[in-house]
Amino acid sequence: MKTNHIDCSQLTKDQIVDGDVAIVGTGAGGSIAAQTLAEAGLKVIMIEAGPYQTAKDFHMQESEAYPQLYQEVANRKTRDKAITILQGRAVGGGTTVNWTSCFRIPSQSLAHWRDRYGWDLTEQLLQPWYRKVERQLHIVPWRGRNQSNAALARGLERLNWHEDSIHRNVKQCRNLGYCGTGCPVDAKQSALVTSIPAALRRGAVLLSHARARRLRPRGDKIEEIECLALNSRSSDATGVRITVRTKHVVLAGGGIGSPAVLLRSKIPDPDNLVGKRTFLHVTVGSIAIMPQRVDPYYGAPQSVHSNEFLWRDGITGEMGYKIETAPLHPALAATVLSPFGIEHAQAMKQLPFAQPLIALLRDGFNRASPGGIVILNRDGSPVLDYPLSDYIWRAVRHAYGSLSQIQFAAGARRVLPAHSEATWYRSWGEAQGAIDDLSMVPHNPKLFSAHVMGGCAMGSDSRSSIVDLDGNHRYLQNLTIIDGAIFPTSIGANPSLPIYAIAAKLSSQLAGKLR
Amino acid sequence: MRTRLDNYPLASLSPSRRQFLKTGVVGALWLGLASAGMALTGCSQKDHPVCTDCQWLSPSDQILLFAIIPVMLRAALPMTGKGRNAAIHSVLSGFDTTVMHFSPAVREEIRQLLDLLQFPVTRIVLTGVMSPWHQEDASGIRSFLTRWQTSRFSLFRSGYYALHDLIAGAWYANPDSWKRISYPGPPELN
Repeated sequence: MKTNHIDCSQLTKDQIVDGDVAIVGTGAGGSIAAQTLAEAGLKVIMIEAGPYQTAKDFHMQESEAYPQLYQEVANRKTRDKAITILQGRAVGGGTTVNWTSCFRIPSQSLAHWRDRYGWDLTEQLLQPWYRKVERQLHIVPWRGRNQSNAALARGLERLNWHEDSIHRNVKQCRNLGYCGTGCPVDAKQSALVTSIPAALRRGAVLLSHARARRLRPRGDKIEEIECLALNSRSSDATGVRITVRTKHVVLAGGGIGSPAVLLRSKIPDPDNLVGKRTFLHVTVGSIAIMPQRVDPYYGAPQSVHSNEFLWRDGITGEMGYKIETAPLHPALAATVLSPFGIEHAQAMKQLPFAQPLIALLRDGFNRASPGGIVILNRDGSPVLDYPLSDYIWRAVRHAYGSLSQIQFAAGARRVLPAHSEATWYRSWGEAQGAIDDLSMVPHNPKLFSAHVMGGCAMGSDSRSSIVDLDGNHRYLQNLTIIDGAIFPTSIGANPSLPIYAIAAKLSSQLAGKLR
Repeated sequence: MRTRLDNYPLASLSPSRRQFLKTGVVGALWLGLASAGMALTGCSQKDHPVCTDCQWLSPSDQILLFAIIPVMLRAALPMTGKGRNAAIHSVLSGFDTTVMHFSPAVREEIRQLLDLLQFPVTRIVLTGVMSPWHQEDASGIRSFLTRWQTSRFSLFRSGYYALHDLIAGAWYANPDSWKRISYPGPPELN
């Protein structure tokens, strides 16, 4: 299977690689595009900055997975360092390390994109594409609940708040709880075990440890992609260049990577849209201590969710949020807890009893939520400038309240909102009063993101979108963008299935055009 | 003894490092102070343990972190003897591994942070730590961490969290830390 894989970290001489279509990025979008185009008989070249690792390389260790499989050791930061972005960087992209939660696009989001951005997709039109990827990735309802998810369900039931189970892309899942460090038993039906092997079987070539530095257009067509070979850590360029020459290019580098390639390539952008409106599902956390062991690191990470507050003030009003649990392994837990010294050491000692909840804030639906802007450092590497506004802070405070309310309803002894000024609260009443007084300035609330979306919006109006409704670039004739970057706002649900389904549709249209 | 310039890198600051010092609060004031600071003498770095597998951390970075790590982690580390020393070394090594995996731009930011902490003038004025790091007592380092964590300036808060996340992340990714927190580790596969 690995015969047409080139590990570019091992190259000592510059290379030229030819094909029909080059695909930059191998995550949810790029992998589906690679499979679809390869199965249409086209010679596909996949370009991936991260390593090609598979189940045998995954040992359920944070110390291995974060450096190898995530951007910046799972510690990518927004420009002011106020938000930590957990983003995959490996063959399979985010799908290699995601927690396998699959949701279709909420109907409210789809309606908003139709109204505001001229999208032509309806639930009915998406139906066959959902079915196709749901079948391939074995996306099915998951009935089991680990202690952490059982606590969420219990809290929601007692409050009589919305509660539902989660579909997961797994087959013969052993319920280990280590989806985030790469599935060691190939139960997760990620791109790594589905679409990428399918593309390779059809003759696609995979370049790992290769960063697409810039597209080189002549006139309105890209002639070649200049790629830099990266070392085995995927951190630094080795000096070797790989030139990829294809008739067509698909950009699938995700919500920071795709805009960065366009910016570095200085592709015409008259309305200055590239990298703007990048969204994060800014994520707020709260940790409860339960009377019994929770073992929050074991079992399917997410199997219960709540949309109770997702549309709390309509689609475009105050920012709503989705509520889920999160797996809590020791190193991640250690960074979520703000204090140092004795306080930190004591909190860590409670890890087996800890029950974390998260709220994913739905950014981009209101004028006061323009998201972030991808900018380039002097060396061409991207950084996301994501200013935090009062509009976001109001939602952060609201979410702290809801999360702790659920945790107390579920029987928590103590609850700690992930905020540097918070202390362990012993009742919902105490928490409520204290949360009102927490200061909302960058870094004090510990904010995360596991979903980067937008930055290369798709739409019907050239003044507000970079690609048309087929994903085709408006100025370059042979460039299509197929990844999470094309969403005009955040999605309001975990993005893997929406990206897979839209990628299946757009790449099948593209295959028809190129064949 | 080595020259002061060898010990403290401000004289050889790249433009980007100067830029860092000019950012936000720090202001041109610090560059003025820095030149005065050149009159101060550096510390001797001889009898300190060196992290042999570290590729990026310099000996003086290691001395700095050797002082900060026990204060950051406190009771999470073995209290005495060989175990404690080995634990601190494993954190140094994990810190180094993480930085080695960062992109050059992020690595440069960590470089700036560590330089700022080590240069005497910026150390004294911005951290309040009066003695060289290896001579500072735990309470002085605690005050510095609290001062940065609760600072009204974003730059210092982000500096605190960089140290916090790199140090705490390195220790708790290490299986040696797990017994104390009753984390059984990954399940056996068979």
